Amino acid sequence: MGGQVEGLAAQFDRVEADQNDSVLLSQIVVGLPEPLRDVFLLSRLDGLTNAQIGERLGISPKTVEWRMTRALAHCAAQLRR
Amino acid sequence: MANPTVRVEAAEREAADWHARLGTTVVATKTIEDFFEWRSKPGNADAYRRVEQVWTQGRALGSDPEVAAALEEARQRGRKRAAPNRRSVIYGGLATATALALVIAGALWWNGRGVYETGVGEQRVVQLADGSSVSLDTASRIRVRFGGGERRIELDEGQALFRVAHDADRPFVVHADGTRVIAVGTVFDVRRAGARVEVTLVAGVVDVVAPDTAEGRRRMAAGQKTLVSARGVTTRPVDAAVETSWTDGRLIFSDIALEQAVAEVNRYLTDGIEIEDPALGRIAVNGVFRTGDRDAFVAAASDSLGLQAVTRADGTVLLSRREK
Repeated sequence: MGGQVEGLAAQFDRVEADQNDSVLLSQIVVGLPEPLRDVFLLSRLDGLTNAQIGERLGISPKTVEWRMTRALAHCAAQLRR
Repeated sequence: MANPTVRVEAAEREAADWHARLGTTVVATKTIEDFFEWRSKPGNADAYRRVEQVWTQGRALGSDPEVAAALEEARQRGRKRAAPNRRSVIYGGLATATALALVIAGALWWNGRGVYETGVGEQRVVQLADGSSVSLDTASRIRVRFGGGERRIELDEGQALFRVAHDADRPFVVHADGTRVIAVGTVFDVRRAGARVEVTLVAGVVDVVAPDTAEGRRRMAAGQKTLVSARGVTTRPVDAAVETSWTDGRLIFSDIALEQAVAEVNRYLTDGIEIEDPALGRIAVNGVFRTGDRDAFVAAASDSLGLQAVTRADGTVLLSRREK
């Protein structure tokens, strides 16, 4: 348990740096391949569910989830320091 | 700046998978244990933190003109496909209406002269002028007053996580019903329910000054929680990740009494849950739930504990022993 707390503390040491990341994150998101970007934006900014996004883009909710996961992994990789 | 593209590594792929798995309505205890184990391996906690960051900050990117343009394109692509389908058109309209409502809410929210609040079931991140940020939990209210010598925050009610930008000359002081939490640059959570104040320190150092005590300042270390109540001041070690799980829209219960879990879930609901028999309330429960997802909690509690759930005329849900 103690290890977990220390791990989290170390993570939060980077919080200040994180605040500059939102500009960077915008650029990363804009640079995503279109299919991933559409899913990411409709989910995070329009608050649509996977089912709603699937219906609008003509793909299955499972595909939406898959693209969302890939979009998150891709963006997270670009934020690696 | 996003070029050249950084290759996605296993840790990031797995972190994104975990994020999706933990986001489903009901998560088994085993899954959570597996997650904590995965996260304890080198690099994984950091990858997960970055996935969470993309997820949370992603919501706030709409003010960037390039992102706004890309979103409009995504909506157009959706609309073109969905044009013959009336239901989807309604969704589109709703989404636009929601976006508009958000813009209006954003505008009103700035006119409050340093007052930031959330309704029941709402959460919000506030960026402050000094570079600090505050995550506000459900039904919470803070007032911000920055002066030359002090960055002063009044927590009127509810709960907030403070990520404080370092400024040695201007301490960041949270006032909650007479209790003061004094920080220089750190991450901590303050929860106020009436005259009871709880402070959880995630990173750095804070001093807690309780009213009406001779003790003076109590210095906290990361991973501790201090409780100030009529009965005095106590400090104990906690899992700060669990205590602050609400900031990513989840509640984590690990061997928590059902009544305590219900009280926690109810903070996000206008029509809450009640337990009929107090004896049931002492059963320990485990699970991860999205805040505000009453149905998921009720379904998990009634399935795993063999309880019966009845929605009453006033909209609240009663959990009771299943009739034999």
